[in-house]
Amino acid sequence: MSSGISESILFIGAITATMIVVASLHGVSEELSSGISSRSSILASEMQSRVSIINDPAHVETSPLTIYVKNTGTTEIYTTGLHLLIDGQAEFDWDIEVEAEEAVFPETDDDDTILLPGEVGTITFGGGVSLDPGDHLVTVITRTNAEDTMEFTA
Amino acid sequence: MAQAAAAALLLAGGAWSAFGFTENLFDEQDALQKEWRDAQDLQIFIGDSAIQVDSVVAGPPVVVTLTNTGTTTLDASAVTVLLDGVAATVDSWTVEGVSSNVWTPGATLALTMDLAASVTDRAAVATEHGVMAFGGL
Repeated sequence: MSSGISESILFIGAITATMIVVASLHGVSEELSSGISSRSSILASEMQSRVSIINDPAHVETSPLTIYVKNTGTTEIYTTGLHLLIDGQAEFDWDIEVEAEEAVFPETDDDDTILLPGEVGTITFGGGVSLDPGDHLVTVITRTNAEDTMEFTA
Repeated sequence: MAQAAAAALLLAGGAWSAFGFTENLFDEQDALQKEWRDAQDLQIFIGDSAIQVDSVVAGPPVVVTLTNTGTTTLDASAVTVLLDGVAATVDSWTVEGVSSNVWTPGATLALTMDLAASVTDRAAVATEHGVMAFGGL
Protein backbone atom coordinates (compact mmCIF):
# COMPACT_ATOMS: atom_id res chain seq x y z
CA MET A 1 0.00 0.00 0.00
CA SER A 2 2.67 2.46 1.10
CA SER A 3 4.75 1.31 -1.84
CA GLY A 4 1.88 2.29 -4.18
CA ILE A 5 1.59 5.73 -2.62
CA SER A 6 5.35 6.26 -2.89
CA GLU A 7 5.28 5.27 -6.54
CA SER A 8 2.40 7.65 -7.24
CA ILE A 9 4.22 10.52 -5.52
CA LEU A 10 7.35 9.67 -7.47
CA PHE A 11 5.35 9.55 -10.72
CA ILE A 12 3.65 12.91 -10.16
CA GLY A 13 6.97 14.44 -9.12
CA ALA A 14 8.74 13.15 -12.21
CA ILE A 15 5.97 14.34 -14.53
CA THR A 16 5.88 17.79 -12.90
CA ALA A 17 9.65 18.17 -13.13
CA THR A 18 9.60 17.09 -16.77
CA MET A 19 6.85 19.52 -17.64
CA ILE A 20 8.79 22.36 -16.06
CA VAL A 21 11.89 21.40 -18.08
CA VAL A 22 9.91 21.14 -21.32
CA ALA A 23 8.15 24.47 -20.71
CA SER A 24 11.50 26.15 -20.02
CA LEU A 25 13.01 24.65 -23.17
CA HIS A 26 10.10 25.81 -25.24
CA GLY A 27 10.25 29.29 -23.74
CA VAL A 28 13.94 29.60 -24.55
CA SER A 29 13.34 28.41 -28.13
CA GLU A 30 10.51 30.90 -28.58
CA GLU A 31 12.65 33.74 -27.28
CA LEU A 32 15.53 32.77 -29.55
CA SER A 33 13.23 32.54 -32.58
CA SER A 34 11.71 35.91 -31.80
CA GLY A 35 15.19 37.45 -31.46
CA ILE A 36 16.31 36.00 -34.79
CA SER A 37 13.09 37.22 -36.40
CA SER A 38 13.57 40.82 -35.16
CA ARG A 39 17.21 40.85 -36.22
CA SER A 40 16.31 39.51 -39.67
CA SER A 41 13.68 42.19 -40.09
CA ILE A 42 16.19 44.93 -39.14
CA LEU A 43 18.80 43.50 -41.54
CA ALA A 44 16.27 43.31 -44.37
CA SER A 45 15.27 46.91 -43.78
CA GLU A 46 18.93 48.00 -43.79
CA MET A 47 19.61 46.19 -47.05
CA GLN A 48 16.72 47.85 -48.88
CA SER A 49 17.38 51.34 -47.54
CA ARG A 50 19.26 53.93 -49.61
CA VAL A 51 19.49 57.70 -49.41
CA SER A 52 21.21 60.12 -51.81
CA ILE A 53 22.15 63.77 -51.58
CA ILE A 54 21.19 65.07 -55.01
CA ASN A 55 22.40 68.67 -54.84
CA ASP A 56 24.25 70.09 -57.79
CA PRO A 57 27.68 70.46 -56.12
CA ALA A 58 28.35 73.53 -58.27
CA HIS A 59 25.21 75.27 -56.96
CA VAL A 60 24.81 74.60 -53.24
CA GLU A 61 22.83 77.27 -51.41
CA THR A 62 24.86 78.07 -48.30
CA SER A 63 22.89 80.86 -46.66
CA PRO A 64 21.05 79.07 -45.27
CA LEU A 65 22.68 75.77 -46.18
CA THR A 66 20.11 73.76 -48.14
CA ILE A 67 20.50 70.16 -49.21
CA TYR A 68 18.18 67.85 -51.12
CA VAL A 69 17.93 64.23 -49.99
CA LYS A 70 16.19 61.62 -52.11
CA ASN A 71 14.96 58.24 -50.93
CA THR A 72 16.67 56.09 -53.57
CA GLY A 73 15.91 52.78 -51.85
CA THR A 74 12.81 50.65 -51.74
CA THR A 75 11.69 51.22 -48.15
CA GLU A 76 10.35 54.32 -46.49
CA ILE A 77 12.67 56.58 -44.49
CA TYR A 78 11.51 58.24 -41.28
CA THR A 79 12.84 61.80 -41.31
CA THR A 80 12.75 61.90 -37.52
CA GLY A 81 15.52 59.29 -37.60
CA LEU A 82 17.84 61.30 -39.86
CA HIS A 83 21.22 62.47 -38.64
CA LEU A 84 23.19 65.20 -40.37
CA LEU A 85 26.89 65.90 -40.16
CA ILE A 86 28.77 68.89 -41.50
CA ASP A 87 32.50 68.30 -41.76
CA GLY A 88 32.07 65.32 -39.44
CA GLN A 89 30.24 67.26 -36.73
CA ALA A 90 26.64 66.41 -35.89
CA GLU A 91 24.21 69.26 -36.56
CA PHE A 92 20.79 69.40 -34.97
CA ASP A 93 19.59 72.82 -36.12
CA TRP A 94 17.75 71.86 -39.30
CA ASP A 95 14.31 71.33 -40.70
CA ILE A 96 13.00 69.12 -43.49
CA GLU A 97 10.18 69.61 -45.94
CA VAL A 98 9.07 66.66 -48.03
CA GLU A 99 7.74 67.37 -51.50
CA ALA A 100 5.49 64.47 -52.38
CA GLU A 101 6.04 63.17 -55.88
CA GLU A 102 2.34 63.31 -56.63
CA ALA A 103 2.76 61.94 -60.14
CA VAL A 104 4.26 58.78 -58.65
CA PHE A 105 2.40 58.60 -55.37
CA PRO A 106 -0.91 60.42 -55.89
CA GLU A 107 -2.23 59.07 -52.61
CA THR A 108 0.49 60.72 -50.50
CA ASP A 109 -0.01 63.90 -48.57
CA ASP A 110 2.56 66.42 -47.43
CA ASP A 111 3.78 64.34 -44.51
CA ASP A 112 7.20 65.67 -43.56
CA THR A 113 7.96 62.73 -41.30
CA ILE A 114 8.20 60.07 -44.01
CA LEU A 115 10.22 59.99 -47.23
CA LEU A 116 8.67 57.40 -49.48
CA PRO A 117 10.80 55.75 -52.19
CA GLY A 118 11.47 58.36 -54.89
CA GLU A 119 10.51 61.35 -52.74
CA VAL A 120 12.80 64.31 -52.17
CA GLY A 121 13.22 66.17 -48.89
CA THR A 122 14.57 69.72 -48.69
CA ILE A 123 16.72 70.13 -45.59
CA THR A 124 17.35 73.69 -44.49
CA PHE A 125 19.88 74.35 -41.75
CA GLY A 126 19.29 77.02 -39.15
CA GLY A 127 21.06 80.36 -38.96
CA GLY A 128 23.48 78.99 -36.39
CA VAL A 129 25.13 76.86 -39.06
CA SER A 130 27.63 79.02 -40.89
CA LEU A 131 30.30 77.80 -43.25
CA ASP A 132 33.73 79.29 -43.78
CA PRO A 133 34.76 79.74 -47.40
CA GLY A 134 36.33 76.55 -48.69
CA ASP A 135 35.56 72.87 -49.13
CA HIS A 136 33.03 71.13 -46.90
CA LEU A 137 31.42 67.72 -46.47
CA VAL A 138 27.79 67.15 -45.64
CA THR A 139 26.60 63.67 -44.63
CA VAL A 140 23.12 62.29 -44.13
CA ILE A 141 22.55 59.06 -42.19
CA THR A 142 19.21 57.27 -41.80
CA ARG A 143 18.01 55.20 -38.87
CA THR A 144 18.72 52.08 -40.94
CA ASN A 145 22.36 53.13 -41.49
CA ALA A 146 21.96 54.18 -45.12
CA GLU A 147 24.17 57.20 -45.73
CA ASP A 148 25.51 59.53 -48.37
CA THR A 149 28.10 62.28 -48.37
CA MET A 150 28.56 65.23 -50.68
CA GLU A 151 31.58 67.48 -51.00
CA PHE A 152 31.04 71.08 -52.02
CA THR A 153 32.71 74.45 -51.94
CA ALA A 154 31.20 77.31 -49.96
CA MET B 1 7.15 3.41 -15.00
CA ALA B 2 7.34 7.03 -13.78
CA GLN B 3 10.81 7.45 -15.23
CA ALA B 4 9.74 6.02 -18.58
CA ALA B 5 6.72 8.32 -18.81
CA ALA B 6 8.82 11.34 -17.84
CA ALA B 7 11.49 10.46 -20.39
CA ALA B 8 8.87 10.09 -23.11
CA LEU B 9 7.32 13.44 -22.21
CA LEU B 10 10.72 15.11 -22.15
CA LEU B 11 11.58 13.66 -25.52
CA ALA B 12 8.27 14.72 -27.08
CA GLY B 13 8.48 18.21 -25.64
CA GLY B 14 12.09 18.64 -26.71
CA ALA B 15 11.31 17.46 -30.24
CA TRP B 16 8.31 19.83 -30.42
CA SER B 17 10.45 22.81 -29.35
CA ALA B 18 13.31 21.87 -31.65
CA PHE B 19 10.98 21.42 -34.61
CA GLY B 20 9.30 24.79 -34.07
CA PHE B 21 12.62 26.53 -33.61
CA THR B 22 14.21 24.95 -36.69
CA GLU B 23 11.19 25.71 -38.86
CA ASN B 24 11.23 29.35 -37.76
CA LEU B 25 14.97 29.54 -38.37
CA PHE B 26 14.62 28.26 -41.94
CA ASP B 27 11.72 30.66 -42.64
CA GLU B 28 13.76 33.62 -41.42
CA GLN B 29 16.78 32.51 -43.42
CA ASP B 30 14.68 32.22 -46.59
CA ALA B 31 13.19 35.69 -46.07
CA LEU B 32 16.61 37.18 -45.42
CA GLN B 33 18.10 35.52 -48.49
CA LYS B 34 15.31 36.99 -50.61
CA GLU B 35 15.97 40.47 -49.20
CA TRP B 36 19.69 39.97 -49.81
CA ARG B 37 19.04 38.98 -53.44
CA ASP B 38 16.75 42.01 -53.90
CA ALA B 39 19.45 44.28 -52.48
CA GLN B 40 22.05 42.72 -54.81
CA ASP B 41 19.68 43.14 -57.77
CA LEU B 42 19.20 46.79 -56.87
CA GLN B 43 22.97 47.31 -56.75
CA ILE B 44 23.35 45.69 -60.18
CA PHE B 45 20.44 47.76 -61.52
CA ILE B 46 22.06 50.98 -60.30
CA GLY B 47 25.45 49.90 -61.69
CA ASP B 48 23.89 49.33 -65.11
CA SER B 49 21.97 52.63 -65.08
CA ALA B 50 23.39 55.75 -66.73
CA ILE B 51 21.91 58.94 -68.13
CA GLN B 52 23.25 61.99 -69.91
CA VAL B 53 21.92 65.51 -70.34
CA ASP B 54 21.76 66.28 -74.05
CA SER B 55 20.48 69.83 -73.88
CA VAL B 56 18.98 72.46 -71.61
CA VAL B 57 16.67 75.11 -73.06
CA ALA B 58 16.89 78.16 -70.79
CA GLY B 59 13.22 78.93 -71.15
CA PRO B 60 10.75 79.78 -69.96
CA PRO B 61 9.49 77.12 -70.24
CA VAL B 62 12.65 75.21 -69.35
CA VAL B 63 13.15 72.00 -71.31
CA VAL B 64 15.80 69.45 -70.31
CA THR B 65 16.47 66.63 -72.74
CA LEU B 66 18.19 63.45 -71.60
CA THR B 67 19.21 60.08 -73.01
CA ASN B 68 19.12 56.80 -71.13
CA THR B 69 22.70 55.65 -71.85
CA GLY B 70 22.56 52.61 -69.56
CA THR B 71 21.11 49.17 -70.09
CA THR B 72 18.20 49.43 -67.64
CA THR B 73 14.69 50.78 -68.12
CA LEU B 74 14.09 53.78 -65.88
CA ASP B 75 10.97 55.42 -64.45
CA ALA B 76 10.57 58.80 -66.15
CA SER B 77 8.07 59.98 -63.53
CA ALA B 78 10.57 59.50 -60.68
CA VAL B 79 13.26 61.77 -62.11
CA THR B 80 14.20 64.82 -60.02
CA VAL B 81 15.51 68.01 -61.64
CA LEU B 82 17.52 70.84 -60.08
CA LEU B 83 17.87 74.05 -62.10
CA ASP B 84 20.81 76.21 -61.08
CA GLY B 85 20.92 74.13 -57.90
CA VAL B 86 17.25 74.51 -56.92
CA ALA B 87 14.74 71.65 -57.10
CA ALA B 88 12.12 72.24 -59.77
CA THR B 89 8.72 70.67 -60.36
CA VAL B 90 8.49 68.79 -63.64
CA ASP B 91 5.18 69.74 -65.22
CA SER B 92 5.22 67.31 -68.14
CA TRP B 93 7.48 64.82 -69.84
CA THR B 94 7.68 62.71 -72.96
CA VAL B 95 9.73 59.66 -73.92
CA GLU B 96 10.58 59.74 -77.63
CA GLY B 97 7.85 62.34 -78.05
CA VAL B 98 5.17 60.26 -76.33
CA SER B 99 3.79 60.81 -72.83
CA SER B 100 5.12 57.77 -70.95
CA ASN B 101 6.87 56.72 -67.74
CA VAL B 102 8.82 53.91 -69.42
CA TRP B 103 12.27 55.29 -70.26
CA THR B 104 14.01 52.51 -72.15
CA PRO B 105 17.77 52.29 -72.91
CA GLY B 106 18.72 54.62 -75.76
CA ALA B 107 15.46 56.59 -75.56
CA THR B 108 15.26 60.35 -75.19
CA LEU B 109 13.34 61.90 -72.30
CA ALA B 110 12.22 65.53 -72.54
CA LEU B 111 11.22 67.23 -69.28
CA THR B 112 9.31 70.50 -69.32
CA MET B 113 9.12 72.92 -66.40
CA ASP B 114 6.72 75.82 -66.68
CA LEU B 115 8.74 78.30 -64.67
CA ALA B 116 8.47 82.06 -64.74
CA ALA B 117 12.26 82.47 -64.76
CA SER B 118 14.87 80.97 -67.04
CA VAL B 119 17.90 78.85 -66.23
CA THR B 120 21.18 80.73 -66.21
CA ASP B 121 23.74 77.96 -65.84
CA ARG B 122 22.91 74.27 -65.73
CA ALA B 123 20.59 71.43 -64.76
CA ALA B 124 21.23 68.47 -62.48
CA VAL B 125 19.08 65.35 -62.86
CA ALA B 126 18.71 62.38 -60.51
CA THR B 127 16.94 59.10 -61.31
CA GLU B 128 14.76 57.23 -58.84
CA HIS B 129 17.81 55.35 -57.51
CA GLY B 130 20.13 58.35 -57.40
CA VAL B 131 22.05 58.07 -60.69
CA MET B 132 22.93 61.66 -61.61
CA ALA B 133 23.88 63.70 -64.66
CA PHE B 134 24.64 67.38 -65.18
CA GLY B 135 24.31 69.56 -68.24
CA GLY B 136 24.85 73.24 -68.99
CA LEU B 137 23.32 75.66 -71.40
